[in-house]
Amino acid sequence: MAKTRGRLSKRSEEAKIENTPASSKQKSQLSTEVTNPPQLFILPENLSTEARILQLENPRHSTDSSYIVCPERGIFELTKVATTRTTPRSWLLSSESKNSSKLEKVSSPSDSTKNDEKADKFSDDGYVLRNANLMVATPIDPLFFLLPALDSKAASKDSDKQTKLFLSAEDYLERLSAASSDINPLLRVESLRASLEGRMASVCDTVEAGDEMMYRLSENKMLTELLKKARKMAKQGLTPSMEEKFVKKALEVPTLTIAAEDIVEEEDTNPASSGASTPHTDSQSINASTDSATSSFSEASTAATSFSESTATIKPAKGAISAPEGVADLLRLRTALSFICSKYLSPQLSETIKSLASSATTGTDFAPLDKHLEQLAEQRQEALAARSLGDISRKRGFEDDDDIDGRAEKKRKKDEEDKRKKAGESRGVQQLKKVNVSGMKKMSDFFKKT
Amino acid sequence: MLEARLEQADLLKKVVDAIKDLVQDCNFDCNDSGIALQAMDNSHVALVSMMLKAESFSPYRCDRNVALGVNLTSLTKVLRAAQNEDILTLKAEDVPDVLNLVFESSKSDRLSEYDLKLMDIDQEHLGIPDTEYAATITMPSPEFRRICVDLMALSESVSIEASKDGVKFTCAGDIGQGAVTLRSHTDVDKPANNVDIELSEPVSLTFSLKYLVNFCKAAGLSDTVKLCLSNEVPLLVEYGLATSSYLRFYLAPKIGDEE
Repeated sequence: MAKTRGRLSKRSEEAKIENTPASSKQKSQLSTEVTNPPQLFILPENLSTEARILQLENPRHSTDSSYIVCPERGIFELTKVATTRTTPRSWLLSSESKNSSKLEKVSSPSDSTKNDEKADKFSDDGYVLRNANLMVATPIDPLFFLLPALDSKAASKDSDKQTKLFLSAEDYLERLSAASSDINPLLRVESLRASLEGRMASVCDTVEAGDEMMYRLSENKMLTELLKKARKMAKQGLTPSMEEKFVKKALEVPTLTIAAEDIVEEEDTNPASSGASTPHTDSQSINASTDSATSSFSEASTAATSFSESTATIKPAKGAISAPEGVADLLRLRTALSFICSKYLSPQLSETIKSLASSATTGTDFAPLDKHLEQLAEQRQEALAARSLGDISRKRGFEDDDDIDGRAEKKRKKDEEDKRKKAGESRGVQQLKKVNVSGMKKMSDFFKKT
Repeated sequence: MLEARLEQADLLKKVVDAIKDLVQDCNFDCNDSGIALQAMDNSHVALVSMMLKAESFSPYRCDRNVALGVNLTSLTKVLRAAQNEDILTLKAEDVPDVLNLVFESSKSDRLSEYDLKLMDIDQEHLGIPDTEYAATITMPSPEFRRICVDLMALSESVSIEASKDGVKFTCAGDIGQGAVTLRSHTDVDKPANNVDIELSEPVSLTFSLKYLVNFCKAAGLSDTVKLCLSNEVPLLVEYGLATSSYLRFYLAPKIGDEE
């Protein structure tokens, strides 16, 4: 179970090694590999003793993933920062007092906790962790876990809007615990329950029935709430890779001449990239191949892929960009929103959100952005058309050569095809081809077709 | 869903071996009565018709009529992996992409499984009427093969004359000529060696030896072969199999243009 230990001087977070009983005492030589090696976590400070690592239903994939649930501090998602297969790495863990300069992640024995003797073992001799996987716990809004339960469409598969009923918080939490039974004991904890209900209220229409509050998911409120998150994310600055791929690229103005490629205009609306250099917790999966503790690697990459698909833009011609005031910010906001949708919302819900966001019933109007993107697409098409025209005119001079090449190519292809055909023929069939069939009538002359 | 289990892979191996030298690709038409095949050679002068009745298999199950388009060379390659005594099971979905073949060896507990990719083959299907033939000759299949192979050394075509005296195979080529005559013969000890000639009127027809030799590759399937001839119609060469299944070859006679 998650217990914290060993404060890091460098960081506000604590590093912790969850030891397994299987690990044996380290010798100066490397001992044999243990079957169930420890894992390295970065956990939040001051988790209550009630905090647990639980298997909850992932709101995006509806499969079970690991989360830290603390009754006081809320829910934390575990993200695995993994090394790639091509560049394998390992951790060397040792005491701060000895080798503090060598290592970044150190479990210090100086802070005495009840697990101290375990920490000592690592600090005395050092410990080599074969997989340099780091589990980072970052806060996640419990709202995301509630949404699948709140979304009656997903629950009852009823697409009719009229059937949405007001239900008590109890009913929704029951749905939640049906999906992730692990959370049951914690739902009884008042503080956590109160925070869940609070989050529920923020995205629901409510009515009071007797002394009980009844809730029903309001899609507009949900959008507002998500936009708030997206705005915050965009304000802090998107990660450089996201900024590059979804904002800069999308707003690039296509150029017609090669010379123009060298002229790089300053993008005046672009905020200082320094703000974006510290990775925003929500967007780590873009930078590193990350994953939550148990969901498989492929799932994470699917999430990332679907995300890039959803906001994919036509690859523009090279060139710098300048966009009208506010458009870049709008695009950043939309990128953030679609990131949140693709990472934390079920596919159905994110569809709803996307259609709602584009209909612009809320305070944010994406129209200027859409208009600008449309213009860009047009320009790009023109540039492309002009480019291909140029290509054709350039090719004309080599036509004769091409013709010869083409003929040789055709011949080779034909030969290959013949060869393949022959491979499917038995020797008998090939020999029968040589038989003189003169004077022999076709079978269809004797037997009628059916 | 098609599922057909053959006690001995031998049967299918031999059938496919016999057909593969005549046609390249063909459809195995499966329905609840069994697995049928009809195909012509490239020149459309010969036709092979195979019927493996459902009773040849144990069990046999075919929920929906399905045509399995197979390249016979490829099928031969897969079947080569089966021992003659293996139990062979053919399986296919209702709308199959592949034909699944399982070979089980009862002796060594060995199980091998192959998936053969299927192809779409557009084939015309001919209706073959029941014909009263003027002459029906039954003879040991090795005998027929021997005659064909021997005569092919001399010529490309053979003339088959059936009369009440017997059946005479004659050929003439650049190096000379040859003739083999068989008379009705009954071997009490070995009925398989019988030569039986049923005749309603004398017949004389000429056929391409290369094709006949090709048909003779099926000799391993049956001890006896039945030749049915009538003037102006294709020769029927039939190899009977167990449970009234059969493998039949038809060959157009050579008319005029004597060499």
